[in-house]
Amino acid sequence: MKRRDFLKQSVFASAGSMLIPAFLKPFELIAKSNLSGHKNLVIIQLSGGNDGLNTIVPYGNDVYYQLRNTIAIPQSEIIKLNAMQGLNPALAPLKEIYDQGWMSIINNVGYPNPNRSHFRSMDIWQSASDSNQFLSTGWIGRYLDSNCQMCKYPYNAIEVDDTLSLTLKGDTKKGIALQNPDKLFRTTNTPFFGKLIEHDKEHLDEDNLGYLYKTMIETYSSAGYIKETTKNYENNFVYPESAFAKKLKTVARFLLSGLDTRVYYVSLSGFDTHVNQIAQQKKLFTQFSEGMNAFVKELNNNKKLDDTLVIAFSEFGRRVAQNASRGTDHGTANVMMLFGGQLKKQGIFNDAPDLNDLDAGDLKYKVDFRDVYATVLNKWLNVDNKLILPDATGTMEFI
Amino acid sequence: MAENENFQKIKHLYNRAGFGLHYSELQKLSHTKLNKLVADMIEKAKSDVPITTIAPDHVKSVMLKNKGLTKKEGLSPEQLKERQKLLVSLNKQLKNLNAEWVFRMMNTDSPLREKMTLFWNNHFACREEGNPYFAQVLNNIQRKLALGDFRMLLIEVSKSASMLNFLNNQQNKKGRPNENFARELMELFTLGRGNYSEKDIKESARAFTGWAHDAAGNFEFNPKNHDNGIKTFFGKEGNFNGEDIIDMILQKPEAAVFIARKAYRFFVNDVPDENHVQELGNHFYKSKYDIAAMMNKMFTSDWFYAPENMGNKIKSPVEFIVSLSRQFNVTYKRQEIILQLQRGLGQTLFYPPNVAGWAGGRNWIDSSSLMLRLTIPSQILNDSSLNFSAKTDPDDENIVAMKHQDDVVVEAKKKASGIEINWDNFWSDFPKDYSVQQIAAFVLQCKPSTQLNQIINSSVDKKNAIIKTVSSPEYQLC
Repeated sequence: MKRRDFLKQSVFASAGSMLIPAFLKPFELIAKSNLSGHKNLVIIQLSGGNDGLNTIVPYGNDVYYQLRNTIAIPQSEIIKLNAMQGLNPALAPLKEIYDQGWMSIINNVGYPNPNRSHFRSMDIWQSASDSNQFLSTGWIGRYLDSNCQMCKYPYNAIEVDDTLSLTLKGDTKKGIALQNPDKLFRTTNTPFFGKLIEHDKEHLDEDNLGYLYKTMIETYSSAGYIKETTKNYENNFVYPESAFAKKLKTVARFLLSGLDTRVYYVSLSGFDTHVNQIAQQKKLFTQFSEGMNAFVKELNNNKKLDDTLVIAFSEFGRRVAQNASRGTDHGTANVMMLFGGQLKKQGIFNDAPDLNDLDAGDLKYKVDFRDVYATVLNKWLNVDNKLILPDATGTMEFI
Repeated sequence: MAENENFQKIKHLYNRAGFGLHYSELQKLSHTKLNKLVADMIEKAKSDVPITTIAPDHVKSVMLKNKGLTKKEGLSPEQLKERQKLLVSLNKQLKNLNAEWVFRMMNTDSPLREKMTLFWNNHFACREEGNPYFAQVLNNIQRKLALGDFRMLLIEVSKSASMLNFLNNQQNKKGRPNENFARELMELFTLGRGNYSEKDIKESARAFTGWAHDAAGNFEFNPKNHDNGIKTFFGKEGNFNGEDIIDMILQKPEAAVFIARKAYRFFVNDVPDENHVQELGNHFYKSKYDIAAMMNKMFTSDWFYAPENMGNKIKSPVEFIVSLSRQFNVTYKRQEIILQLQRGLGQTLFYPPNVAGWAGGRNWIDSSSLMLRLTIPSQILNDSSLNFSAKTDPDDENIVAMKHQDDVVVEAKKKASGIEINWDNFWSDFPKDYSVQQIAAFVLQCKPSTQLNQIINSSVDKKNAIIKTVSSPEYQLC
């Protein structure tokens, strides 16, 4: 048996029993062998409750203009997508992507008995729970927990941030958060930590100390693996100068360097537009759309767009009528934006929100967000969604 | 000085019932019998000192009304700005309350009271939207009755403005019941799933109709909104009110066992031993829900000091921060640091993830949080700024929406300085002939690995050795 094969086998064997040996150099070997053509999911969280109606604007409906007399986007400024809906002008960089068939819009996404508090609704979207259910794991975390063949290491799901969201936390497996591979490597691969995890069989028990050492070893190895692997690629695309675009650039680099990562997670915060919504959304949409434009093009240039699906969500939409501060208050159903090279139904996926049929001034949801998740799990990540979202149907036709 | 058998037990007791203790304190205590220490500790914890950081007139609706800013409609742009400013300043007070409590945990001479308050704070997990004074009131209820009568605690919590708002009981009215409170009362606060039916929830929700609070946050029973009809609860019929329902719930021994299990998981072991839980629950039930009796039983049981229950619990972020700070006499000049530490490590007091509270145990640990926990002690003890940025809580999104994204992060980093450690006091607390290995062993609650021992032995100096000790996986446990 060649040394390489031996290492491969021994790592697989030990990973299966949850006892990972101190030296995990062989990480790289596994990754290389599975590199080609695996599908990636990028999740973008728009925090604060993005106003979907001023994102994908139902300009063809008079009610929109009646209920939003000072913050409605004038017809002349809207980038029209069909006779009913169009893009907020600050999303202009998305038009090019849309025209290529790389964008899809799902209207009226929500869940029964919607909650209007930021933290609770975010908790519901991240854990994919029912409105009156409390889960301590996230939906991607449960994907990692499920029998997913490619979910053995923390770096199989990466959040570009300093701390990890609930979405990526499972019961036995969790993703990893990092902004910068060099920084993670510097903090983890110190001589002190290196010495600490040497020959540590004695601590890899099932008790809490064993769990801590195991997590530490995985982090140490992941940091090395990520640093080494990301050397394979340097971004060859110019990104705008925003923190969000920088995060997308990092995702692109990770993705194109061949990191063995299935899920990436990025957040953009500040969408709680109770006051002066137009200016605030414009600022955020500019960051979002310019960043997405560069990201999608870089993936396409490198022939990776077909293997990538991006989904952007927010914890709730906002009320249909504006408030007195040229803003909008917390609402219910919302629009989800999808990007990728393999979208089945390009453009607008379903009917625009029906502004004549409101529930006490709020949109009625038509699509349960968990059906969107379940479809992504089934059709894109190729796992049985019943293991992760038992009650959702994963049969939507957007991919 | 001999370290008798009591020594390790008392150390364990103070780790779990408090936030650790200094060597000299432990030496003093080690000549007292364990039973007496526990009794003294509980007695001391019964004296109540409320937190009074936020003034009672700082109530959102009252302040808005006084300034004519109640409704946004019809306000001028300047007034709208003033209104927003007022709301942001109230939000800031919640952070003052948070820091005040954490500082109190670091400095109190009755750590059991604060530890129990922390336990109830997570048991009755509650978020306050906009009224930090109400959060303070609820926190003080949890403190006042931390070791008191559980029935009273449950009733006072249920009648607090914070809980009434959080679980929508203000909207629970005759003919239009809102079941949120009734559901969580049974599912999370007393019985746990499987011990009641959906019908019990529906019927008991009717009994709580009319429970509300006035503008100042005081409980107010509104007879007009109360449903005086016959309710069927746990198979019995009657015109039950809220207190009746609570009494009927507490008549079930399952409620005592449920609370005992939760306390066991918080104070003893993440993985409950069901025999011990039953024993504790029965005792709690027989004592008529006397929390002090339950805790006394726990802290004096042999199993509390069994090897599998010592040095094997993952510290919560707050326990981690507080015990480190107490151990090394750390002072923080800026409360922002206290907030940043909590956010980074995943537990910001008054911002629980949901009404079920923090799950605890291994849920605290992922690659990122563990690396922070392994590197934060050296950042604090070397008195350098914190080298990470923490996520915004979803409830602070309105503040973010008013600032530029990037500014928030920069600000957090810039402000993260102003930490002081008194190393002299730390060293002088130990006997003169104490070796660095002995000090390291004292700082840890479990046996260090061979590797960690080698690292301690080969460190360039004492300070370096101790900083490495608290930067280890072993230090995560208590």
